[in-house]
Amino acid sequence: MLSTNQKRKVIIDCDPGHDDAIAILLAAGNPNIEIVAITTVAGNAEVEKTSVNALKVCEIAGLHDVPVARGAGQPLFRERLTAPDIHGESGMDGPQLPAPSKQLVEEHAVDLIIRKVLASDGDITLIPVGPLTNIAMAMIREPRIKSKIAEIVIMGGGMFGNTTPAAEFNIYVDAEAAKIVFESGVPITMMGLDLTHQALATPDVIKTLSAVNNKASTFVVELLQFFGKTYLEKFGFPHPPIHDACAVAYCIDPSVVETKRLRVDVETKGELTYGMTLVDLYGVTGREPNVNVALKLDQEKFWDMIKRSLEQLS
Amino acid sequence: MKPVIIDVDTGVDDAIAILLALRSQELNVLGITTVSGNVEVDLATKNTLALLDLIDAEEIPVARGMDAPLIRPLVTAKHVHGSHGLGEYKVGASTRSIVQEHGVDFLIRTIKESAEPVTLILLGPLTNMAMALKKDPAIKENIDELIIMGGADAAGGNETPVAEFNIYVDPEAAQIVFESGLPITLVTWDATLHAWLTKNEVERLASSKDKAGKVAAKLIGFLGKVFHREQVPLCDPSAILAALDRSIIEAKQLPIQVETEGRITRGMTVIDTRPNRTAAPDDPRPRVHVAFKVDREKFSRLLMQLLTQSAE
Repeated sequence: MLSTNQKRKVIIDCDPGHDDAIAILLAAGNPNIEIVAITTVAGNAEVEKTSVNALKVCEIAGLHDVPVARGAGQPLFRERLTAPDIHGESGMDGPQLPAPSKQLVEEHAVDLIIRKVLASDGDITLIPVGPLTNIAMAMIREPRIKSKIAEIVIMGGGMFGNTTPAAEFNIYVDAEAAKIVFESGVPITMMGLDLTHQALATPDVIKTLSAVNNKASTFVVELLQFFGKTYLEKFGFPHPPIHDACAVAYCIDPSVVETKRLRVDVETKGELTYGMTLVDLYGVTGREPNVNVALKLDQEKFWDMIKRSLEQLS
Repeated sequence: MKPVIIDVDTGVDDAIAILLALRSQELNVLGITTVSGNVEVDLATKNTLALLDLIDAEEIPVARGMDAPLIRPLVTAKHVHGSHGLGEYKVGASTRSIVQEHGVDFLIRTIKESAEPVTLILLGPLTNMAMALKKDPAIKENIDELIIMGGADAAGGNETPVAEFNIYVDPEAAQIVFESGLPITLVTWDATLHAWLTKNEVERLASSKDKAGKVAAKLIGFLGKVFHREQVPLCDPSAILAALDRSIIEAKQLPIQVETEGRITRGMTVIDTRPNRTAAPDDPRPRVHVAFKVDREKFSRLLMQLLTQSAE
């Protein structure tokens, strides 16, 4: 366990994305987290768009010195799939933001991940909150990183799906990449839909965050207004789930979730079940457990973390 | 001169192919990238350097590429190429060094920096090429064509009844490469069954003034013992010679798919050779120039010409 005055080093791999943006702000405003880098991937929108969005979020969060590197524009083998019906054409519709002056670094996201992990003391946590294409590519390209990654905290999967009845979006977009990561032997904690659907931005939550009354909180409220609308239209949810922030919340304080160590496998061949994460709840497969599956969220703690981070970002 | 990069899993026939490329006046070899296939990439790299040493070749960048196929565990072919991959040659340390850059990055950078579009001659599993395409799809804009040694017709496999080794080892990579939209010439295993040298020709090679000829003869002799036959198919050399003289192969543009899911048919190149069919306009299958036949006379003539020149 980290000592209280030791920051947890993280690389956030994301496809901003409304909940990705909130996850980044949560990390940026928390004193326990050191964001080593942000890497982008195609997912909620094309990688060109998610990269611009990531830069915009960095400017709001004051992350001027954190490198943002662009990554894979397509899944490993599948046709690209995006989610404009949830996130809008830009991938982060809602808030009006000027073009960012912060620039991407030249380095490809995959190279940056490999370089940072290999140079580290084995103390970097990867927080992928988009499709796992970059992480898988890094592992294929440089298998040595597997023994040096401290932990991978994934937003993805679950015991039911949203993009298909069986599959959650991040895993569905690139199930082959997910399979590579889940079978890598690296310690994994998974925030699936079972967990993230407990992180609902209710009107009370929005009111509390709005009261922070700064640039960051205004941005978040605008995000939630758009995100809440599309989630209601598409899924019939009265309040939208802020999936990606759960992964960062766990890294700040693991006690914000209850987890169970289980065997999880990814289906890559099924006609109807492609992208499904098979969570062996009763241990029937006899396969070696490989994932800490997050099942219960301490909602009060979670929203309090977010409020505090936004307060810090004045 | 045509700028080329050769991707190899050296490999006995890869070695002969490299010799041919180096002896040709028309190919400008920008570099050699290695991949795991016939042997593990470290051995393939060592063997490539050793081969360059054997013929006192000029400095050529050699970049070590992918350790393993994209998602499958590696399958090698040491029962064909020897436990070290270079037949009977004992490979010691070389004074040559490889470039620092990873083979995939070397491929990407060299392609992008070339003044003219590059031809890639791919003689091993397609792992490096697939990774390069995934990492930087823009390289397609500066690639002239891919000449690939691999694949087989329906009943013509070598690693399995239906699959040729290079495609079998990394079928997912093959699928990525075939679906890239790049112009591809595929020199199949079936074609290379026609690419053999007579006993006389091998003897002439062995007494060549050029060390490259002597080395080739020794390597062919090794393959002859492995295959227990004189008519040893020279796979990778066929691809190099096809790059030099397209009339050596008989090729037809055909739709192709790679089987990546099959248990028994893994790595099969499903080439649509059904006669008298016009593809539907929305047929999504890539079209590739597939060679099922090599003109043996032309093949041997060009090979002998390249490897029995007077010493420079």
